[in-house]
Amino acid sequence: MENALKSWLTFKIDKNTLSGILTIGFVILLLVVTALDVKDGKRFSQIVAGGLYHGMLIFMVAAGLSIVFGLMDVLNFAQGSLMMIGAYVGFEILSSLSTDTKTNAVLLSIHVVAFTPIATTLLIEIAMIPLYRFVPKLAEAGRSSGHLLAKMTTSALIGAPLGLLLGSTVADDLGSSADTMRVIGAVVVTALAWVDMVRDPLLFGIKWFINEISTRFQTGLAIIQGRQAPPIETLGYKPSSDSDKAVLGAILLSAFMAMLLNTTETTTLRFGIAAVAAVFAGTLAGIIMETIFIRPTYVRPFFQIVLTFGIALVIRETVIYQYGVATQGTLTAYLPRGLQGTFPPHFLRGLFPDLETTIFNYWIFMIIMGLLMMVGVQILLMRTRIGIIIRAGVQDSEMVEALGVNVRLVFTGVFALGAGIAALGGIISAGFISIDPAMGDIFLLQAIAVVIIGGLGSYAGTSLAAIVVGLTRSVAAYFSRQQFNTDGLAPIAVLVLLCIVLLVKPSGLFGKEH
Amino acid sequence: MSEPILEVKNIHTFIGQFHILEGVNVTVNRGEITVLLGRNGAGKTTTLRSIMGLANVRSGEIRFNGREIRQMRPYKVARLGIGYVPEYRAIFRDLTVEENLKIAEREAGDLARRLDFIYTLFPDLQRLRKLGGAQLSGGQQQMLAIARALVAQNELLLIDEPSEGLAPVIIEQLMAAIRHLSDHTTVLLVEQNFHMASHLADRFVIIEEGKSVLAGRMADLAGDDELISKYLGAA
Amino acid sequence: MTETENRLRRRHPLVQTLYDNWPYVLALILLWRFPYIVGDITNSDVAPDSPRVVSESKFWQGVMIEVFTLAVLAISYNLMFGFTGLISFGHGVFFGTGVYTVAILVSEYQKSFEVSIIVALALGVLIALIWSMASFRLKGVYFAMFTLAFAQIFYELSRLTLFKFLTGGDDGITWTAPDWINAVKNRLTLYYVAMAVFVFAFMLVRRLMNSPSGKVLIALRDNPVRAETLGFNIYLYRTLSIVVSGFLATLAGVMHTVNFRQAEPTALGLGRTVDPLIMSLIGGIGTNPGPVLGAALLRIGEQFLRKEDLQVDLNFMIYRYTTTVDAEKYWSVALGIAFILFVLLIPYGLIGSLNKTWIEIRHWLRKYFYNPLVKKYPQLATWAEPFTGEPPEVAKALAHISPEHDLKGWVLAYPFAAMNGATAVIGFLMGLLSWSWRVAVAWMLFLLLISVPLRMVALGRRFQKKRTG
Repeated sequence: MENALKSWLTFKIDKNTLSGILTIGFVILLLVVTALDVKDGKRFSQIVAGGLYHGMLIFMVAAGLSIVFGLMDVLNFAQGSLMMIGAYVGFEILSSLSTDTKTNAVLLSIHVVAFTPIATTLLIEIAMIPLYRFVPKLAEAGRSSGHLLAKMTTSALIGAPLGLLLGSTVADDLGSSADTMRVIGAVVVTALAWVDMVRDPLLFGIKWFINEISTRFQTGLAIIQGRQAPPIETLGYKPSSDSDKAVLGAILLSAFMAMLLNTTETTTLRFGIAAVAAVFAGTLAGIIMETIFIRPTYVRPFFQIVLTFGIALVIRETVIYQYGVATQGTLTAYLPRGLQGTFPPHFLRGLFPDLETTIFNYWIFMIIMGLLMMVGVQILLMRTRIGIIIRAGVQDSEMVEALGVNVRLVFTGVFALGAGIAALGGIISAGFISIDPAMGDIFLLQAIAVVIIGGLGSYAGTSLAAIVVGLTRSVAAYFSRQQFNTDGLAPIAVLVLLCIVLLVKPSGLFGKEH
Repeated sequence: MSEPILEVKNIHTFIGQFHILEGVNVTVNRGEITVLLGRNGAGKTTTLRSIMGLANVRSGEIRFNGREIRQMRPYKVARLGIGYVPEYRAIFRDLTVEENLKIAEREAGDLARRLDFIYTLFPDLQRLRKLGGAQLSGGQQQMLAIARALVAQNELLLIDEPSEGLAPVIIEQLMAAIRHLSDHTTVLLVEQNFHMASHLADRFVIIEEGKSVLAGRMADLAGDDELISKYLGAA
Repeated sequence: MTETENRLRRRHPLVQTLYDNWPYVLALILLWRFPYIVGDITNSDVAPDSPRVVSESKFWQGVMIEVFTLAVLAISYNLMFGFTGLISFGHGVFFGTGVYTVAILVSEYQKSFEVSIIVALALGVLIALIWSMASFRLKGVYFAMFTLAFAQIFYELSRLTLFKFLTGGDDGITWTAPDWINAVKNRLTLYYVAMAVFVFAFMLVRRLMNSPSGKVLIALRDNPVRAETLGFNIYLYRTLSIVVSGFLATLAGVMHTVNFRQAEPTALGLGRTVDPLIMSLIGGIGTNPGPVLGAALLRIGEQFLRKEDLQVDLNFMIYRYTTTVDAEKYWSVALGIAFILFVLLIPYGLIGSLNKTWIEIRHWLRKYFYNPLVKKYPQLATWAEPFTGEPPEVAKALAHISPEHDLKGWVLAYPFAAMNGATAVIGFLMGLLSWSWRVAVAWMLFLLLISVPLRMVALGRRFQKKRTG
């Protein structure tokens, strides 16, 4: 009580709090001014939704940029290109998919089997969060080693997309039935990916289940009865191995998907395949970029920026070499004849039903995906061991290594994560925004603006700034169209905002002073 | 009892182009506390960093349990069972006390196993476990830094200037804790505070201008005022 | 006083300067005779009578004018990034200022060519001053991002349909350069003017970097904190670097627009940062001839490589794969890959690596031949000194400069320096070449203006000599 009084009397506003208030004030001001000018609820909600979805797309590029800079001091100028890779790979996969529904169903189920481990692990971990919250002892029993996610990601992602591509290529060359070859390719590569992971027979899944349940039951019983919970070792508990969870998850989800396949539209399946392939390609590109190019230059910070710049150049020029300079339009417009109307998926088509304004379902979808990523990464940073390592590494990566953590591996993982999110942003944006070789640069610029405004190395700042920048852009676009009959002022508004923030607060809104 | 756990033989370490260590020999026996003494800038901290693999050791030999660790990456050295407590209490200021301990886990359940031991050694930490690292006092930060090195099963602890900038009362507490520790593990200590060093250590090594010049039993040094003033300035 | 120094002292200073810089003198002579050499080799007219005829020599003059333009831009970029350690991602804003100001003033407002150039350069300096003010507050990456945002704002503005009446939007504008310097009608003159500007830029930066303030700039790059604690006003030196760099980049923009007689948004784009960056990197960042070499290699290499289609003929046992790769499309990708390889493998560029190798060889010579020999025959030391002397080090150079050596004195001394007669006379003479008194006066004013940094440097040097005795 006394302390509370004291702190109230000597009230001093925290710098971050001040920035937060200023930011929110700015957003409110922006909205109020727009609302007063628009005087039309429908139009207003359209502007806001448009700003939000754009902010989320920028965020997907900026997230990796922000974390990577915080951890490794690398400002990755190729982040926008990673997004572009996502868009173009998604496009390639989508246009190489079969027009036959059944083939796609088979492909996707193979796909799911490869992809399941991650999904399962995530599901289990997320489901357990409330439990961990209230019964800390359980958390120690339930959480397995930090490498789990990394291992799973790598092994599972080598699955179906690669198989799909291989299959298509082989089919084209041999001139045999394309669909058959695709399926065979996917099966072969998926099997290869699983060899590493599943060395044990299926039995392990069941063992894991019993193990987990019994441990938690015994601990829980002890807590309910009010006695000291028995130490975990004496319960015969062995932290479940990667393959245990993987296999169990695979069985459950495959069964679930098999049920689902009879009812779901195939357009959704295609989109799912394309998205996973895009994420896979982005992640792989990220890993290659970090290990081959950026790692040797950690000692030369100047050259690092220059190097990523060069990588961005090569990726852009390669895309131009392959596809030409011209705008591709959205994926929808550019698909082969048989596949017209397969993208975006049916349930994402059309207008948002309740509002009767031109808010597209697809906007809502993009906003939801962005928010999911935002919250997901936040959970990863705050709740998991990897998150602890990343946050500690931001401060002093040398000390983290001296504690026995392989920091280089963490660096690669974080880079790959950022790349994956950017690629996901790419394939998602491809459903609505036209994809072209310049999209990498355009989004990179905005993402840089977001990261700098939010403060380099501050993830929360980046998230907030993404929304602010998205809204600013959308509002500026509205006013510029209304006053000057042109869209051009929107990007300028963002850049001016960036310059002002930099000059007023040199290290961004939530960045650390240096 | 006097079986060596760590042998450093004639190492030469460079920072950038500067030749910092020009032949340092240190032997640490199992179960003892060995202290590195010397003036500021003599190369004591660099010696510890060389052992951890954090500095560029160009030549010489570093053996831990008979195994050569000179060219190893720091995390591998740490995983062999060496805990490092750096100077200036380098805890992670943005993390809570619990998270600071959690990060030092090498296998799942490490922390759970050792938590009781850590909290009996430093009761303060249990009270403060939800607090951020930046909110701790200097002494508490030092305790946390040492506790962090205790989470994993380490055979050897390298502790760099634990008493630096702390109040005498806190130093007494720390000394008690380190003495208690040495029943379980081996300790290599860097210490400027001769009072603390002489009460804790079994053996000493004096480093001067990047060379180890004298080594022996602490009891012999503590009685010899001439030697103390020659190498360490004031007694 | 060693024997060697005595011997060197007997030469006339001018002769000595020429002797010391023989590679540059040779290059200068070659550049001067370049149109005629090409003319002789290809047996073509150096300056054909009809503007429509593009002879071989005239064509290559055009290429070289572009090389000069790019070289000035690269020199300017290198001054900021290579010598001062300030990363700029917005050099396009200077280049574009040069391009657009001249084009707009001449075509839209019917201002005279010379006035337009002076206004453009003044605007470039103004923008550089804004940048340097930002650099007081922003460090490292933040400054780079500021420059990026700043330049992108202008890029977007130039494309805006709102200002289409002024900038022509995405299409840009075309204008007509005066006949005497028109690239179609009188390319040979333009060639020599561009060459003069390039030589001026090169000498300015070289002179600056050899002066004490140049050493301070390098110290600023390597260790700004130390430079500040030594008592140097780092802000003034940063300003110097940015202003000179911005001025030169604007000059490059003016050269560009005079050559092509048009202005388009790409002049403001990111490409104007990427090009000089790649050139500096390939030639050698932080060296004087590096950027020039890079610019020449890239532009001339492009000329040769782009013309050809690459014939790919892979022949396996029974499988044969033949295709023609379109070099036009292939060029950009190859450039990017070369860029990455250079950063990874030869980070100090061609010149930088050469210097490094030479230093290593010198050390090696010293260790194995020089030292043992000198031990035996002491008189060898004086003879071999020029070849085996210690490489210059920044720390050593800094030791000779006192903290009081500050820019303030120069700024005060500027009005006197600017009235230096020689500059004006040279300007007038250059103007006379075009047989027009108006142009002569303009050239004189122009040279007076651009002599600012040069005179500042020279004066500082003179003060310095007096101070140290």
